[in-house]
Amino acid sequence: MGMFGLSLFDLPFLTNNHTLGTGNIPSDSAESYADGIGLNGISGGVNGSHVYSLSWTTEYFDHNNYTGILASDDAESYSDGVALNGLSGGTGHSGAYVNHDY
Amino acid sequence: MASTIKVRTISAATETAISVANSGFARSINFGTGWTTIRVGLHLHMNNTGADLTGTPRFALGLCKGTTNLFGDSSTDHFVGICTTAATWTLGGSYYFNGSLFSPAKRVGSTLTTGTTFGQSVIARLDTGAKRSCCFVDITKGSPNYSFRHFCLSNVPTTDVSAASFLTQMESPTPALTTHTFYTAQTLAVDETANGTLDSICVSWDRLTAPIEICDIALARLA
Repeated sequence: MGMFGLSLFDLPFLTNNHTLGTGNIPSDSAESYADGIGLNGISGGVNGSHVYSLSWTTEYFDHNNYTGILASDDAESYSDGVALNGLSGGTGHSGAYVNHDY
Repeated sequence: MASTIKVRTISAATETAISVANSGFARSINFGTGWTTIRVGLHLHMNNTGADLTGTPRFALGLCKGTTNLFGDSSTDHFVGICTTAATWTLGGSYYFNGSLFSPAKRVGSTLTTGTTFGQSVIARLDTGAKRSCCFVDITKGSPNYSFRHFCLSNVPTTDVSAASFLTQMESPTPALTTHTFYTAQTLAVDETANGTLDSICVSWDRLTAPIEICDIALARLA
């Protein structure tokens, strides 16, 4: 035990060299998860290996189904006279406008 | 005529709008299937032909399945929302109106089913000064009856609703604006399992000579 109650084993932690994969901080590359599964309840990743390192303490809790405006478009990004079909301004949409003439 | 972009100056500011004329459009939005109430809202005004619009003009606003076969097409995959059912849109001093303009509506294939009309709706004309208003439909799931509420200009327009006010009202469970009315719910049976999951905004207007200009469009999840 050295000064201030620290030991040589604490040196890596004190260096601020806590990048992903060094083993000092919990991390999750998400590589262990299958494509398309919901996040809620899964608990992959690795904890820091050192005795003073931080650790994950729970699985993921995913909150969704938020209320409020999910998509909007004020059209201000468009130029006068252009056709609507294919325009994709605004926020929150998952596709461009599809126009049909009658 | 295709839906096009129309740029105007309103209150010394640029107002860019989607001009719909004998056309319709859809746009997909990933709002999932877990919703209970979805609101589709327009901030709009329209052009003036100088005469009543007769022959049951169809203006529709709501949700549809996909973006392939829309409300105004010969065959619709699945549309749920509101549409106008009045035979005539009467020309007023600065607006078009009818005492029972919109009804809840669904269209599957070529079959349009409508419910009880909401009441008087008004759409301000843009040739007499800016009086943009809100036109909302709230769609609440039920089994089998979905319920529909309509928020719209319902009397002579006296104020111009700003884009900011439109967005504020979009998020309000009980929207309220001068000369607007939030009508009580009407119902209509809807079957998303049989007819397709609703996943896109859909707007349609079947008249060429009185383009409706949509200044802002939004979708909100209320529950």
